[in-house]
Amino acid sequence: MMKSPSLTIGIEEEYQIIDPETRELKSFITQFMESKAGAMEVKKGELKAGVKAELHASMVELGTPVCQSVAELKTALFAQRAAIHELAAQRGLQIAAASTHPFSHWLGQEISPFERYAKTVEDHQVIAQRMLIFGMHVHIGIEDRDFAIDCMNTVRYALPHILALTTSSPFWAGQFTGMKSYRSIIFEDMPRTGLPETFPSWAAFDRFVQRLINTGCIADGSKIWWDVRPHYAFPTLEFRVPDICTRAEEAVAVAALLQAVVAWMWNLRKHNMTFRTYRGDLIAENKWRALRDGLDGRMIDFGREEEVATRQLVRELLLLVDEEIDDLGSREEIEVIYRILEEGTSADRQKKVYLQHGGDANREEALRAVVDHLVRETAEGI
Amino acid sequence: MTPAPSLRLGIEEEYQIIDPQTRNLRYIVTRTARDEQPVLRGHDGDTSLNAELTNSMCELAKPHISHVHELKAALIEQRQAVCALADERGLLMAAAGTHPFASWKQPDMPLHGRYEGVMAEMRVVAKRLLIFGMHVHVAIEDPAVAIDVMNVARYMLPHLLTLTTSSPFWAGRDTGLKSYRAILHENLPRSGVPHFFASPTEYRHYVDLLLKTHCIRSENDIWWDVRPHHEYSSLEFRVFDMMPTVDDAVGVAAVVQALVAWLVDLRSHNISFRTYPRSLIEENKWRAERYGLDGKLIDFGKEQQLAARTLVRELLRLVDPYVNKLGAHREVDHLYTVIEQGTSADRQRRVYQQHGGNANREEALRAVVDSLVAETMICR
Repeated sequence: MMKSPSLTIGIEEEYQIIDPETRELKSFITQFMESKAGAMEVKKGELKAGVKAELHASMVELGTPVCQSVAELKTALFAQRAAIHELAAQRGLQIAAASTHPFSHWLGQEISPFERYAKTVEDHQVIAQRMLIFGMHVHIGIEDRDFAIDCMNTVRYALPHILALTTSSPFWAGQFTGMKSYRSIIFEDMPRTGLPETFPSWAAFDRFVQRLINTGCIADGSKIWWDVRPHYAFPTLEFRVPDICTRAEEAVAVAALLQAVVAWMWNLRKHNMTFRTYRGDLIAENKWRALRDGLDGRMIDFGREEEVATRQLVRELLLLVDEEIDDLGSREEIEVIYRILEEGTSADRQKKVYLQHGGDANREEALRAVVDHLVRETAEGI
Repeated sequence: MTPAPSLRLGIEEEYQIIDPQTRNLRYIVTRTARDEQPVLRGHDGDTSLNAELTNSMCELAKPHISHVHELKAALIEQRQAVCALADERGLLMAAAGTHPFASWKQPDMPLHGRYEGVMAEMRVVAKRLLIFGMHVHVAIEDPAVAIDVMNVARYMLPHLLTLTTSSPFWAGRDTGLKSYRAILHENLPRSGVPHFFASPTEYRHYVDLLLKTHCIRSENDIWWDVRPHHEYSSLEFRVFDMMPTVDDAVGVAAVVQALVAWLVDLRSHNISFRTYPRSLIEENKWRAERYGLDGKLIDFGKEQQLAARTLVRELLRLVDPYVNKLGAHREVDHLYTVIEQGTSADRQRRVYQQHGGNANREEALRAVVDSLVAETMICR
């Protein structure tokens, strides 16, 4: 018999390092990593792994420990944000959580001085240099590898819904893009991104990875960057589709929803049922709508074959996993999603701040106001 | 038994009309998505174009030509007409996947007619689409055969792309890629390598569902690298960058025709080229975009990487009997020169370097435009 998934939960976040004077991104990762605090524990137990670099030197990545419950995750994520906030503040810098910076241009951004990033840039050229985007990855513990693949196949359906709840990248290089998640567009310029295809089994997935390794496409599984993937080292399904949530409690709520969805898939399976598997090109239609319109748009219910308001579809998803939410004891944290549905995401708030400060007519000042707003909201509650 | 497909050819091209003083992009000659009428697009929405040109461009897109040498004559005629159009206005003409330095952010840049009407839906993505592609139609009357060939022909799309790359520059910068146009195009929904369809019925259901749920306004809003064309009863290959010279374009069209002939013939012998997952084909497409002919592609049968040049030569060998049958040898032979000497992307980089490269950027970019104009306007 298949072993029940542990449904442990963890979050990795990629933050922006901000210069408070100019509000531009600031390349500072090396200094962070060299500092004693950054390299190891900031405060006892709160930062297990220390800060990690990413492609651009103005990005800093941090991950929570593996948590047994959503309540534990919440504590860990808030502590993590407090720690990075503190680390930055000590150097007169600020931290923002949003998937793009409102105006810092990718041209002229420093690449982190490590060999692996030089290689990424050599391999992908201008595409890599443009990857000035910041993600959030949610890990859910699934020990049985065949179930991980099964779950990946079906859970693809819910990825646009999740993205719609997290959008935080409406601006790019000083321009209002008209999209809620422009990060999603940029990221798909890289190979091996977007929605994965389906696989009949772990063996088939493993064979796929081996094939790519054997033919020199990738060095290892870490170079597969799909919106959801079985993690190459941890026994988890890793969800990479969300934009990073500016508010920590929204990140926790979305992670809790993902945990409940995986639990639901498991319960269906136990009852000889499954969520239906839809074609990747159909799900991609919903992803396009999610990245463009966020919660304000409509997505397609492929069972009913009709367009439905995205807010309603997200509410339906919440109802579908209602029992699992109780089982997992995450109701309180998930309630935040109802507030997102009513008040919108970070992308909506960024747009509001931009317009309040004069919008296009007062562009530079309005964009700086958006950065200030992001910095404030990122630190909310820590 | 179904009658063999007619394999008639049609071709669509998109041209750049260049300001001789600044060398910047002034107009685009393309067809619009909605009514598929060719237009001349300026930033001011200028759609004036003489009726004669309109008709001939429409005609040439329709797959009605049996022999590539006829296609070549017709394409030369079309390019001459566009040249004349540019001449009359004191402008120049160029054919390449991107303009080396035109910036989509400049307010006076033309918008791409093909994506007109979806602007509101695609926002910044549509604005960035200052890109130019070539489409080749091959008539396959039986939809079951068309879908079957589409599934299989996906494998060869990267190989074909390597022969046509012509967009190494974008917005005044060397992107480090051979076909940056392909990257930009994939920002559109419903682009890139299509997914597998088990039958025309499944494809029909897909299209109907997208229509019913307002994802698309018509089948024309499906922009895959290869797609069935509903009105022309053809398979339309759209993976190519525009090529400056007629010989390059016609050579590629000839290979596409022979490729389809080969796949149809295999089918009639109960054999099929293997169907590979899209994710594997996309690995090759990425390599084609990035490295063009200079890279390696993966032979998924052998499961090993081989020089792209070797694999493209192998493809030409595989379709050779059909090239013979279709009487296209002269046109296809030209591609061996392309394989040896490189594509437009390679020539553009060379010109750029010869004129000082990054150190002398603006002048070097103008020199690249001049070289494209010279190669393109030779048809005059």
